[in-house]
Amino acid sequence: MKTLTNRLPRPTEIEPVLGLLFFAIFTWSIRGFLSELPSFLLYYNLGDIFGVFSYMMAFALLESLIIMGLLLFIAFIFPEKWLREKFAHKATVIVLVAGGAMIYLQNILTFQLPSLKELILGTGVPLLTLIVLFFLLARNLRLQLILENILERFKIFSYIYVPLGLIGSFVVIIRNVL
Amino acid sequence: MKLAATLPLAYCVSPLMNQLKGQSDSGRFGVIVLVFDALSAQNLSLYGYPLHTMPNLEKFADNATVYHRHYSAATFTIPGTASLLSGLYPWSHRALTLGAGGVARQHIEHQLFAMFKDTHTSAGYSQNKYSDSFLFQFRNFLDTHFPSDAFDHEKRMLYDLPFFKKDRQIAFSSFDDNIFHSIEGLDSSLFLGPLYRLLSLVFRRENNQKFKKQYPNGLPDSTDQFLLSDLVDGAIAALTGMQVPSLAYFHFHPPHHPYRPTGRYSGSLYSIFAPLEKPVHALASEKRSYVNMRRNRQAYDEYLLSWDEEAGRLFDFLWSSGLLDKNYVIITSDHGEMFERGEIGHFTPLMYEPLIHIPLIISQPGQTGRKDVFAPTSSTDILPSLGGQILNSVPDWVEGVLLPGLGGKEDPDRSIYTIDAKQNPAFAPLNKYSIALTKGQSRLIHYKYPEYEQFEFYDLEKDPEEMNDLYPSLPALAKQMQEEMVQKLDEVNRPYEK
Repeated sequence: MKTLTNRLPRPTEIEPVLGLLFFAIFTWSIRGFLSELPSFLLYYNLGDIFGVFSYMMAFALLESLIIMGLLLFIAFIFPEKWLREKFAHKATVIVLVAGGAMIYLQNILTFQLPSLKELILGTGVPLLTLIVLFFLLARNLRLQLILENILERFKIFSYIYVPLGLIGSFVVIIRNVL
Repeated sequence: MKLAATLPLAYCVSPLMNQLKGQSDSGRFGVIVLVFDALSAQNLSLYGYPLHTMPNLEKFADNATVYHRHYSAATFTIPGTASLLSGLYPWSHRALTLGAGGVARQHIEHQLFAMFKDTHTSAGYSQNKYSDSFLFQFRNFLDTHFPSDAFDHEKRMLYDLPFFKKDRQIAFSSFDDNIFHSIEGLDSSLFLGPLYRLLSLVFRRENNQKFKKQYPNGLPDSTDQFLLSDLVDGAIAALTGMQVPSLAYFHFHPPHHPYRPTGRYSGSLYSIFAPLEKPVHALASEKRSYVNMRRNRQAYDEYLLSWDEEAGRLFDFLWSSGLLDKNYVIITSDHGEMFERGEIGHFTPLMYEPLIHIPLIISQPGQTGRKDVFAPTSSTDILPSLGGQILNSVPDWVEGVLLPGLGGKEDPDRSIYTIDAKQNPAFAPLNKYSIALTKGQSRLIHYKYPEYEQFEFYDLEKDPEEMNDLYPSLPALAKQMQEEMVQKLDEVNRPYEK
């Protein structure tokens, strides 16, 4: 068991990344909800609107845990230097760059697969950015400190969004089971 | 080979088809309603189109009543379907917008399935995911609800999962219309949404490659890909063994966009027919070019040919199985489709014949020979007519009237409304809308939006293409119809005014 936990990042490194993930995923979900809200108000009552919001918050919680799980899995199976060492910094960079790449992907996805050029842009540029940022972070202590400072501020979002996600999950279960 | 291909579908629906066993032998006739989404009467030779786009439908009509001036109550699926099912205009049922989850609560029991609840076994199927919301809303009155992807090749809608059985409407609004966008737009899921969409697109491309010979422009698509043949096979399987009296409602996606004709018809109508070029309307959202509209119309017509080829098997089945002898079979649409004035499709504020003139063909039990009705009729008339004919009872809450030939009389001067209020809140007076009043051979259209307000008036007999707006000269009839429309709006808005 100790061997297993040794292969995972320390909780003090996981917590701030989780905060960032919650911030990114929940905020994006709330953005989506707010963009649809004017049309929801046209035909749904408040209870139904709350129902939709609950589904979205429940899914955001699930998504956050899945992405976190994926990061931990990568940290677990790959050599320590790849991700586990300085997990908070590296995972933060991955989340930020991947998030940007996903937003780009969402904008280019239509009825057909993106063109090769768009796909190269969507994967190549983020990969290159990741490599550059990893390189800079490894050599720049000041950058590491700035990142840690920012990550500290994201911790609070765990305390806001997790309860929202749990309440949402509870509402979804109630609506479908009872 | 064909039979083997149908077996999986037949297996899927066989536990369900037994539901259509009918009530005890009451001597009542059954009802089969077939809705072809976005089918415009203007593109059918039955209604004067120069191309024979649906020869099998024409053959079916040889022993049916054809209603030549039938109008949809709305210009897109949600309100159009709600009006067909409820016998109410959109200003009453209030399913006004694309994502509307259903009719207003006070009308939940004012619909076809509830009307036949005590006398008929019922089954409903809507391949269009949006109109499927009504079948969920009416689930307490529906004995069998076929999933919307029952006959699709691709199944990726999450709201259809068994866990969401009790809350499908909200699950659809959340997952399939918001968290995961199936078409353009931003997902509300940051990571999994675009990955899910990317994966779906990969599978779709593989499907398109697999069926390239059959569908050179890609598989038909209702947000899930499907084959026209599977759709008809599924419907036949569902109806096989149907006992009377039963009510079966089938809402098929074709010929709704995207227009994906089969290899046999793709390109077959190139340059055959050149429609009249009409000025681009100020309200047209995309201002498409004539060439673009013509190309799309051609694809639509070719898709009609493709769909008709398969639907012909369904019509043949209805005849060979004897179902035509024991059922009222209704073939209609929820709204039309247009390729003019800068618009392609139906999600537009415009209100012209291609969009609101829809087919209505009714085969009465045992009918031989064709009848034609030329008086104006509305999609709100179907429910009361079926009630009158089968149950000898017409609900008092309907806004439609009895169809001529089904208990009603021809009234050439009847007022028929078509309403589009997609930008208007469902629970507020109608203040943003397009409304068409068709009366006799005249049409008055009122466009009322903050950025644009205009009346238009057409003489449909002398100007069937609606090219010459007579409103500026304000003929007496236009003024009269305007007063009628204003009075009607005052009446329907009153309950929503504070």
